Amino acid sequence: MHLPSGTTSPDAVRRAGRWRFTRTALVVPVLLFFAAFFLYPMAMMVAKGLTDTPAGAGSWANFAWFFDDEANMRIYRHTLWTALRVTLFCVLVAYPMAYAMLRAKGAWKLAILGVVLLPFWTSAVVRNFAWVVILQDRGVLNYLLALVGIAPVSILGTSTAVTIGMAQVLLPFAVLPIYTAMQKIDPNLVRAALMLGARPIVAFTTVFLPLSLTGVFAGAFLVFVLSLGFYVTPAMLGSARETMLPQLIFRQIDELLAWGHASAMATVLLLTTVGILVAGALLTRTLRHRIGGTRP
Amino acid sequence: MSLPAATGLGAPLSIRNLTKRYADNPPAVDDVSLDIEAGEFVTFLGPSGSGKTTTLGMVAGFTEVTSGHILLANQPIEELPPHRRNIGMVFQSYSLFPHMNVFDNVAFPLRRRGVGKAEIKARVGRVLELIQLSDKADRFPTALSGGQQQRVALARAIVFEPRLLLMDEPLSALDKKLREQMQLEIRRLHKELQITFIFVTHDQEEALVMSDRIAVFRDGRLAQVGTATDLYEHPQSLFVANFLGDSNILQGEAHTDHNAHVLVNACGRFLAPPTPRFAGARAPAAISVRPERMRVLPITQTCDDPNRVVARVSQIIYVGASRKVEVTLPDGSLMRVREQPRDQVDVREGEEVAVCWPASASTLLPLEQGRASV
Amino acid sequence: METQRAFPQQFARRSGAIALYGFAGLVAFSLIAPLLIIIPMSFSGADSFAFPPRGLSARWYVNLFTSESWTRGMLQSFGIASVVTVLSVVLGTLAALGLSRLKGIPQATLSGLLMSPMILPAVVSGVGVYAVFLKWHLTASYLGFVLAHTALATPFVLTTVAAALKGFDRTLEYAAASCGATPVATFFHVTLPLIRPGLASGALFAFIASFDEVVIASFLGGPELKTLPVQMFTSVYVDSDPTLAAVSTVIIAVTSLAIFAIMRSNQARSVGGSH
Repeated sequence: MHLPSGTTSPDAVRRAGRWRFTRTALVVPVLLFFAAFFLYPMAMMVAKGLTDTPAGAGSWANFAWFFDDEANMRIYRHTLWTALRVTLFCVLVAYPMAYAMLRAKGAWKLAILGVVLLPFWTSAVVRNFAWVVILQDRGVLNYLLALVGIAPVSILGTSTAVTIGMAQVLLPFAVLPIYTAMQKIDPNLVRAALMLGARPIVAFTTVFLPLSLTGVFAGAFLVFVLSLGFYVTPAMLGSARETMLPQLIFRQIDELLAWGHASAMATVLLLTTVGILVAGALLTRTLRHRIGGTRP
Repeated sequence: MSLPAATGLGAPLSIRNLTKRYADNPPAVDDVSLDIEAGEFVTFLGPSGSGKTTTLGMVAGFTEVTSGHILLANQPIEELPPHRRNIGMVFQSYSLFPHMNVFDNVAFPLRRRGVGKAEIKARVGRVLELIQLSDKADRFPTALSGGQQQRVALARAIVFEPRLLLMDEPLSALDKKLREQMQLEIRRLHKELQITFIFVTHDQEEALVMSDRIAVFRDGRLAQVGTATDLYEHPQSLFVANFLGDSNILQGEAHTDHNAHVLVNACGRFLAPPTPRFAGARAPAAISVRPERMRVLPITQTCDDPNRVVARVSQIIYVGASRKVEVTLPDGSLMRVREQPRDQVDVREGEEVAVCWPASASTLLPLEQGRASV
Repeated sequence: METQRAFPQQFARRSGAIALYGFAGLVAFSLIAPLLIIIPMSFSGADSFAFPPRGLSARWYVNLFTSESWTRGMLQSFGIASVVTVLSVVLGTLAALGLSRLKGIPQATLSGLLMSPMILPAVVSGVGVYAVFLKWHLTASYLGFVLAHTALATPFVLTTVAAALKGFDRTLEYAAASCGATPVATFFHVTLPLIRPGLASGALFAFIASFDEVVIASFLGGPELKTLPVQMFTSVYVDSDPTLAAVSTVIIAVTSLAIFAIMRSNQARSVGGSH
């Protein structure tokens, strides 16, 4: 097995051969698995959207059905709108949280991170159930408001409830990219601004904030794209008016077995997601090139 | 206490026309050939990027060979994967396994070879005694100092009795005192084990202290190979003259006169012993003189030696017992003379003096195209 | 590394600091509080979700563990998640190892591809998987669940193991090779022990991802195969008793314990390595 001290048999050398151990080849079994149980199904889905059409109709019949129906379009628009609202909310909350994490020392840093990641680790149903308990008409919130003498509010079933529920789980996806970007900012840049006479607020807005924008955009696009796929939260915290596209797709299959319609809608959702991801990646990359400022 | 003498001891290593090329770049190692005898201590010396580490990497097996051959004990190994070559290696950052204690680190190669538990215990024990760390066997690397980690790395590399040991700048992370201690340690180990050592460093003092022979690398090629004395006293190029030790360089035009070479420039006329590297006709050349072979004399005093130049003292630097006198020549160039107390003459800064040296102290070197003083 | 000391004092004026940490505290509270509410709810004496809970009773827990559908759901979820964890740890580690030597466009494309289940909507892959598994007779079967969930969980393992590999010193692998260890031996004796924390966190994420998965489970499930989250989801509309709160508390407790255990074990590993 090893070169015995002193001699190398010519056989040993020949047997060893070209030892170029291509570690990269390890990816192949994983790719095959993915191809079979993830990519192929998605390809089939897209195909179904084009092929599972009523007799005589063209390939695009399902897509036409989706885009022509006003009810469908309302839900599609509402999905995008909700995603946007959630994204804005998340970014506004995540930015100070990331900054607090940046400034915190030692254990506190980890504590903030842990709290932010917490909803990530808890079951979707459990989380939303908790919100139901809090936001329902005879829930915790109204109980507390009553204690203080404020009239009860009816939040459950509104877009506010859905936004809160979604923001809770999407917050870490905004905090982490922003934090990473903030960490990379060279502290001397802010110091330089102060030495040059800028007030702290001005130094922050003209130096720190722009340099953290790559993180903000990265986080925003990620949150937006993830919002498009939410199913459980709008189902549990929203009302009929708050229906989002994933629920619609599910219903088409579960209740109507309308494979063609469902596949077409899923394809639209897929393309929307991918399109925004790509746009986001390009935008973030351009930003990163234009704005330097990282620590040496 | 020494290891039992391994059968065969050190192995000779032969590097033949070794070349390494990355993509379309100029070769990192360019047609290097070198024969190392069994049991020799050879140092690969050179600045960073000179190809010494890449060559070592090819001997170890971590760097793919573009062309050429490597023969260990007359067997070609360039196609063999590193874990089959049975060559010991000590890395710059020690690379001790952080999740294993000292004993397990040192036992690792023996375990990979299927050695029995009792024998492992005995052999590891012996090696730990050799490096004087027997009492730290159950400690983890993070609990050891840099020097101790380095010794454990050494122990791990020799416990399986390789016939060749490679060391890639192992002492560069240590402070000066520790470095000097470890240099002597490694030399002692070499004498005890009697196996072939290849040591890579960019520190010329280290090379001079430790090696039987030094291979000086430059831009992927070997500039010169020889003993410390060879390289120091008889450098074959300006590069080697400058790289090893301090050197005073005089440039000018040289020609051959009877049995000597004569270099002429604005500061005078200088003699050097004949060398085959210089063809007879007039050509630009340089003379290299070691600082300690020169003497500073009052300008009025005559000089027994044929080489004499007038200069002005610009600085006197006291280095412990000896002193370095820096002088400026009429053409503006600088020279440094290193003198022991018994040779020192009372001189002052700003004073005009004479600097003398014998012909034998001069080495005539060809002047390189466009690169006079590298 | 210590950025907080680097920012000048003017930034951390008293009021600014108070406002910042106060905000962080408020957000932290609103993230944790909802989960804590469930715990007292699960002990409610009354038969409703109304808050505050009236009376104290443990009967919802009794109900939970004696009910056939609930216990079956828990066992199924647990069983499936366990198998999925093992599979996805293997696949995720293989993928991370394979991708660790790649750079540039090939690396970005392949990792993007393998990470996509984390980002793309579950409904999208769900429709496809359901359609294909119907053809392959894999619906309402454990195998189908395991296969679909493994594809979903592997990206989590890939992320954590890839991060662990990034911080891994490759010279250690060279040192092992110079000691005579074959590439396989090097992996098991040197690389694996040192990236173990990454595998452990990845395994945890994978388990949770499978255990909590609702959408694909709804598609692929059957009358005999209703995993816990699906059970819980329907329970919100069908039942109206706090058994759901009891289930949730159990889940929170078990998840917290698992996270705590993994963190402790990772901690112990990084402090000098008590084997």
